[in-house]
Amino acid sequence: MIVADYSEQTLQGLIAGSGLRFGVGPFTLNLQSSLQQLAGDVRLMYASYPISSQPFADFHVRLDRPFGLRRWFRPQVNFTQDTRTPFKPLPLEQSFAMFEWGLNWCISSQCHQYLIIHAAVVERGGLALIMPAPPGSGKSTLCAGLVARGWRLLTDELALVSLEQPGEVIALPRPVSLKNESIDVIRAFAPEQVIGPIARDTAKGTVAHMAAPVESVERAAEAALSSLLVFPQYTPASATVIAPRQKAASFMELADQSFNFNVLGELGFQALRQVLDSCDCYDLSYSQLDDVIPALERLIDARAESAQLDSLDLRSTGIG
Amino acid sequence: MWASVSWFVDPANPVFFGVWPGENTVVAYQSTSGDTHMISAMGAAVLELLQTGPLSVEAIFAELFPDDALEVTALNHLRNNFLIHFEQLGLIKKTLS
Repeated sequence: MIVADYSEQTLQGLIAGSGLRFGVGPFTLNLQSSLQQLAGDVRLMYASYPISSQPFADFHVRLDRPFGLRRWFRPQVNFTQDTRTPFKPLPLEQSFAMFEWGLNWCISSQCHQYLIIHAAVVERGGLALIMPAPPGSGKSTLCAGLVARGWRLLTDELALVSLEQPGEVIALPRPVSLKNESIDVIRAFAPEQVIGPIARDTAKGTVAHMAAPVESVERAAEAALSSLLVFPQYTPASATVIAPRQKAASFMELADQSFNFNVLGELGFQALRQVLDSCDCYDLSYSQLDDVIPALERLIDARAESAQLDSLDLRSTGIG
Repeated sequence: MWASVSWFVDPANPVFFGVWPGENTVVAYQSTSGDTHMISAMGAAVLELLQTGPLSVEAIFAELFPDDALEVTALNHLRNNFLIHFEQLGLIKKTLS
């Protein structure tokens, strides 16, 4: 059973009551809220996510309007996990964005069974392309563009690196966060994609989310081997330029973009080292999705081909 | 005076390396402090030697360059640009022997 199997009215009842419990990648989420409009947003953006009958949920989260006089002239929303309220209230029309940001906070601050890196990850042919980047680099736009052209979405924000399987990235397909001009860029590039509610005047400007494709959600249990590490930078009017970069410098950058590298100690170091062991590293400058996507497809397909040849070599020598 | 000084990596605070073929820089991670450094391949070779136990600057030079004669300029370079720098970073300790 999936979220979309429930009517909006039923979802409203669940969310207002004991909670809507559903699976998001490796996690189970229990969502409660007194906000009527949230059920419709969740039904639109999480339509294909599996309903969970597990008695345990990793995160119990709530979104509610705070009490006080302000609720009458400037309605706001609060995010709560268990008894914690980690953020100041936001305007009510930013409810869905706050849900997404709150869930990011839950995962990045508590899930230390993974090395968590601020990066988008997409997969093609079993190989993962990791794109770490600071805000404004065009990471999410590129991620959305790749996903719209058939790459599998593993994550747009939080790369979960396995501490057990060397170089593996765990899938956490969730809506892709688009900001400002990116929203219209993706609307024009991939009009068939589902874009959720618009949140204006946020700290990041105007924000909207693109729903994860059904196939990505259905394959959420499949990890992917990290194979390409690309540091994207959107540069207006730039041609697509892909240049190799050193792994040691890439390691330092990834450690810097990690939420819990220091928390994990040696485990985190080894997990990150294994990611670099299995990846080719590049800097990428781009301005046009129509140019950059085929270039990345060629790069990862060449990588898949060379991996196949390596595997044949090993078999012919009797090692594999 | 310098001959009586040795340096070593504290066994309670080992250094782990990220080394990749064809690259002249290495990542060094110190487990106890959690500090991560990008160092030269030469620096990594020095640290690896000092994980085996305390060594003087002359002994390090002899291990790294067995075919070369000891030379003051080279010893000073090794001491000032590697050993003292690593000591300041907390990667190695000094002992008097």
